[in-house]
Formats: sequence, C-alpha cells, structure tokens
Amino acid sequence: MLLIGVGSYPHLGAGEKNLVEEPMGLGQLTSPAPSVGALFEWFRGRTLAPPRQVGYNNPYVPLASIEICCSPREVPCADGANFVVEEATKANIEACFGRWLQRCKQHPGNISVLYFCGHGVMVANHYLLASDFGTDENQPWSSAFDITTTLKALERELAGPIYFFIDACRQIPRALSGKLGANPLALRPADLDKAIVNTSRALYEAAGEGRQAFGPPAEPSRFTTALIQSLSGYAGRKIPGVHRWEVNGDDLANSIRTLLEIYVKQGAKRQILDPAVLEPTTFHVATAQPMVKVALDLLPPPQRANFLLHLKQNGLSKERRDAAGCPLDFEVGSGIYELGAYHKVDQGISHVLEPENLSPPAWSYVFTL
Amino acid sequence: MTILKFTVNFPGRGYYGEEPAVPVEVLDADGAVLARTVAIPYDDQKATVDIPENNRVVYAVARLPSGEQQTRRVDIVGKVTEKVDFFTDYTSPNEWLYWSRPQLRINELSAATGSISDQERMWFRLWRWSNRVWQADKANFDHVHRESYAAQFDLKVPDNPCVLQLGSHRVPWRFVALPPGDVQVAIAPNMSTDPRAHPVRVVVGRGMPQEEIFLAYLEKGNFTAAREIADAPRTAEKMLSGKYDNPVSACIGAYFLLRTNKTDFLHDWPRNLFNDFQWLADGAVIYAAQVLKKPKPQVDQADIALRAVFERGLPVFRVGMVMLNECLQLLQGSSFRSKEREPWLSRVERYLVAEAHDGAALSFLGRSPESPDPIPVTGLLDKPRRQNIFRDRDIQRTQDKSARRLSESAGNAGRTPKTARRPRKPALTDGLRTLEAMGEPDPTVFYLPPLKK
Repeated sequence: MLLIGVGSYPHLGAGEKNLVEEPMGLGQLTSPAPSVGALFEWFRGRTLAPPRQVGYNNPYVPLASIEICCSPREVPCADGANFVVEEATKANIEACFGRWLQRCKQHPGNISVLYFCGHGVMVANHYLLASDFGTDENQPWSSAFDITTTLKALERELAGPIYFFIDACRQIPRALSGKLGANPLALRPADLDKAIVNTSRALYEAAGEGRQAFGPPAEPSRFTTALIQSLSGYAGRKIPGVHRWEVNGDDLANSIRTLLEIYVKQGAKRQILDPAVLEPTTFHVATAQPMVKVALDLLPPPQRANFLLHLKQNGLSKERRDAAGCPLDFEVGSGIYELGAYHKVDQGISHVLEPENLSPPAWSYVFTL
Repeated sequence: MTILKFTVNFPGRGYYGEEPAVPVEVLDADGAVLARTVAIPYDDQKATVDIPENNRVVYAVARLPSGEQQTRRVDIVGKVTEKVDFFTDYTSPNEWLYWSRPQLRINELSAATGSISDQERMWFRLWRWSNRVWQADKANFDHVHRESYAAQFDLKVPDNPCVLQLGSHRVPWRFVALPPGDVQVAIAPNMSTDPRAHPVRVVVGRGMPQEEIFLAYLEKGNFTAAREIADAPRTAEKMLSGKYDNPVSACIGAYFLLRTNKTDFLHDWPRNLFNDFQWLADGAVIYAAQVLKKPKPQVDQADIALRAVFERGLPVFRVGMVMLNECLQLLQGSSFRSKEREPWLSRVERYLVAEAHDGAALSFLGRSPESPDPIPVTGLLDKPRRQNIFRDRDIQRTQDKSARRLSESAGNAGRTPKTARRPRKPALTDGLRTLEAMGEPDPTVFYLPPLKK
C-alpha cells in the first residue's frame, strides 16, 4: 500500500517560502501526518508482537508492504514510536508510486491501496497538490497530479483490486477557472497500447464535488477516522457458516458515509463521501461481530412513559429499554431484529415493525404513535 | 431444502417483453447473505432460490433504486416451496405517477414538506438541437398531470436531441436531456438530505420499468444489483443488438458493458450505433469509448467519434457525459495528447462542473443548453436572479467565489479579470431574449398548470 500525507506546503498560505501567485486560499494542514500515522498503525496492527485485536486481516491477501511519503517528514504514531519518511514532493511521490506500482503488478491477486491526505482541487477531474506545489513559479501545477486519470491509467496496469482513498477537498478554485485545459498530468500516463485488465476498483473521495474535507487540528482527519472506525468493527457482513465478517468495497462506502453523517450530527462540519465502487471484492475480514449504533425515539414525548422498546433476534430478547429515556442511543451486534414499541399495559396498541436488517454502522428509527 | 419464489408488483414490460425485476437478498438472522436473486411479476419460475435445511427462518430483503426497501420474514421449517411477495401495496397517490416508484419514494410524496405550489410559477421550455444549434421550441403534450406534491408531462420527443429547461422563483434553472420516443417527465419535491440537492427532482421515464431500474442502478454504480436484475451482460448485449429497433435501449446496454469492462459483448455494434444514428450523441460516445478500450486503440476513429459528439448536441444520459470526459482525459493524459481536443475537454468540463446531479438523464444548471453554469439562477425567464449558493446550499464562501469565477470565465472568455470580477447583471443574454420580456407571451414557454380547486 502507498500512504501519502501532505500537510506542509511552503508556497501556500503561512508557508515558509514565497507565496505562489494563486494560493487559492489554501494554507498549511496539520491532519495529514497524524492521518497517515493512524492508518499505518491500523494496517500493521495484527503484525505487531503481541498482535492487536484490530488491524488489517485478509487471509487471501495478507499485508505485504507499506510505502509512505509525508510532509512534514515525521509521522506521529499513537504509541510514540514516531518515524521519519521521505518528503512528499512531486518527485518523491512519483518515485514512491513507481515502486508501489511495480510491487502491485507482481501478482494479479494483489490488492493495491493508495491513500492520499492533503490539498485537492477539481474541475472535472480531481487534482492533488504535492508539498512543493508552487516551487516552479511559472508552472505551479507541475507539482500537482491528476488522481482521476491516474486511476484510469492503472486499469491497464493492475489486474487485482484497486482501492484509492482520497482525503482531500474538491473545491473549484479560481486559479484553475482561467486555465481550463491546462491540467496537471497523472502519476502515470495511460498506456493505450495495453488492454484493460482490471475488473475491481474502488475510489473513495472524502468530499463531494465542490465540497470540502475536514480534519481537527493535529489529529487524524474525519474521513480517515471514519475509515479506521469502519474497519475496526463498524462494517461488514457475515460470511455464512463461519465466525467471520467480510468487509468489501460497498460495505466500506456505506459505513464511511454513515459515520461521516453521525459526526455531522455530533457537531462536525458537513462532509459528504463520494464513492465509486466497481465489482466489490473482500478488502478486510473482521474476526469480531460488527456493531451497529442504534438510535431510537418515540413520539409524541408524553407517550414515552407508557412504552417499552424491545429488540428481538430469533425470538430472543436482545435489548429492552424503557421509552421514557428516549431518545436512546446504544449498540447491538449486526443482524436481523424484530423491533417493537410495546405498551406497558395494553399490548393491543403496541407498534411492531417488520423485521429489520441492522447492518453496520448505524440504524435509527422514530416510533410515531 | 426449501425453494423460495419471489414476485413483485410493477406494471409494464421492457422492449423485449422483459418484466421489471427488483434485486432480492436472502439473509439469515445474523445478516449473512445466503442467496441473491430477483423478484419479478407473475413469472415465479425464474425468481427462485434454494435454501438449505439448517435455516429455520430466513429474511428476504428487496430494494428499489429509490431506497425504498421491504423485508419479509420467512419460516421455512417443513416447507418445500414458499412464495414471497414484495411491493404488492399500491402506494402511489395517483395512477399516473406509479411508474416512477423505482426512482421516487412516491409513498412519502404527499407528506413531503416541499410541495410545488401555484405561487411558485414553475416554468418550462423545450429546446431542440437543430442545424447544430439549440433552439427553443413549442412543446406538445399528450397529457399534463398535476397535484400539490408532483406534476407530470407525457410527450412525444422526436429523434433530434431535446432538453427540457425548467425553473421557478425557488428552483434553479436546469436542463434535463430527454430521450426520443414516448416520454414521461415527473416533477416532485426532492426529499434528499444532501445539501447539494435541488428543491425538485425531475425523473424521466420511457415506459420501460425494467430498463429504468437497470439504468438507475447503473447510474448509482450498483453493478451487483444491475447484474442481478438484468442477467447482465447477456441482457445488455441483447439490448445493444436491438439497436435498429431501439437505439436508446442499445445505448443503456452498451454503457453497462463499457462500465463493467465486458467489451467482448459489444461486438462491432457500437460502430453501427455511431454511423447509423447520426442524431444520437450517445452512440458517438460509446463508439469512442469502445475503440479506446481496445488493446490497440484506434485513436483516429476515437477522434472522429468525439468530434461528432459535439456536432450531435448532448448525450441523453449522464453516464455519457462522464464517459466523454474520461475518453478525452485519457487521450490528453497519454502520448496521443493533442491541442485540437483541448476545447472539447474544456467544454465537457463546463457541463460536468454545472451538473445538477439528478438521476440517469443528463442534467445541468445554466441559462441556455450551450452555456452550462454552476452558479444557480432562479426566477422567471425575463427576471433571472443569481442564487446565493453558499447561503442556500451550505457551501463554503471560498468555493462560492471560486465557482463564480469559473462560470464567468466560461461565459465571458476574453474579458479582463477586473471585468470578470464585477457582479454580472441579470441580463437577457445567452440567447435568452424572450418575447415575454418585450410584453408578448412566448409560445415556447409553458407554466405548470394550476391545481384544480
């Protein structure tokens, strides 16, 4: 996998060097390095001694390599074991990308993961900015690259599943508005003489078209947090007959999108995931049952004291809550449940739903009487 | 072993008599997927799955592209066969609107808060591509239906490309491409919580629910569901093979095959679609995409087709515009880069930046079909008003300014930056000089009929 984090932009706002002619209102970012660190920690979680309970697990495609470049060069890790990597300049990103691509091509079953956290802008395609953006005054965009076309080019290079996680804004900046057609190049030009060999790919854009992606200062970004949380017990569907839960490209998209919506309800700025998944494959296999954040309410409020909210699975009671405490938030394991609001005295006026598939990461319902 | 049979209640059939199908998942109590199949009307022979005996109870879940979902608990102990029915309830508030159930949550429409009032003065105008220019034209409707929560126009669209423009005091001026043939256009409040969503949805139908469900899943990128319902790629191949009977269906089939890289099923038919339907821009996009996907791409053929797209107006489907951009970006990012394609790419980028994001039909914001504009304009035709998008749609101010710049540079090429920064007056420009502005009724403009008292 290839992790790229770009937080230091010397030629953008508050940078240490000359400001680029069109900074587009962009400045320094403090989320990319912690985001890269957090994702790195998650991926190697089960390879540590002793192995952790969370972390990448795919019996068919075990973790092989992690290539990282980041600006600033020091990548923070939660356990304090910070490490230093190559600067995320355009040249270094190209070099890392080249090495990563060569390794990915070695086996047609390899899963190729590319993660980017940093500044991005878009017109029709999504352009990402390397750390040295603006170094060349005449051609500042030579230190950017077109990730949309890069993915198209890889369709002819990589037979195995491709996962692109792009944690960057997709605003339309003024600097590009006058330069339509003067587009940055892809990290790899499409070799049209090669046939398309790829059948499975997933692109997760952390922001909808024209929208921004966010991150708290000096902490992993919201998208990265949602991605790691999804992979740590809030995504997946049961594999029949075994105690394992497969997380595929669609599951990830659903989970990340829903978790971002939950963050918004908790006060974060609105951020919309824009996924594009073709032929989802198993990305990760969870060894514990995924959890579902359940939010229940009952209206009108004066009726709450009269009802019990009850979740049953296979006829067995799983959760029983007094509606007087509504709105209620709790977690249950994923699966099919029968839910009802049962009147404490008169069962005849109970409100019972048809069975619901409570799939991670969240499910909510308001009983309206 | 128990055999489950699934049926669904939807009217209409596809061009080849296919019944509309809805994807169904059979789950156990843990949510594990035991089987995937489809529910189809009446013909319960096809839509069956075998469930092993170790499951006492299973759950069948059927989903529509609109997001509407039904779950059925099925006790299978001791049963050889069991029939499960979905969407048997007649939820549409009106018979005329029922066809749109796969796309619209029609059961929630009458309770929707954003109804379409008479005060809104929603107006429409049909544009036709004729002699390589867009011209406003008088529309003739077979039927016009109206309720407070929805409206619908039934019309015959000729072979030359058409777009429907609509707008109101609240609804941003928008264009929606219409396919040729008998078309239904439903206008309904948008119940999406996405801040980018516009106040109304415009859903276009061709009376072929099977294709419309297929297309809706294709547009949403849900290829698993599309494959289930259409037995794709065989069905897509069949749709493409029938290009001389129904070229629009052929395009839908071809788009599916291109999107899923099942290019062997395309045969040489996209070339015929391109050569023999010269009014159809989608055919040119499909042919260009096909020749570029070949191991030895025929760039000269791709260029001929790409040039033809701009001579034919606009693709009917959004996926066509996206694929057109992909073709151009692919060529411009390769060793075949050419200056000739740069204006084509700029033009396509303008349409994509101005996208209205509403269903499978191409739709975009703007004042005229040749001038897409990402900044929403509302109001009557002779009184356009630029919308404050960062206030109305929760968009950050920096982006608002940027997007405004983008649109101005697109519409006012050659002006100095100083002029371009000046707020643009709501002028009767861009070929939109209306008769109404001069005090005469414009025959090409029509308004939503008032509600019957």
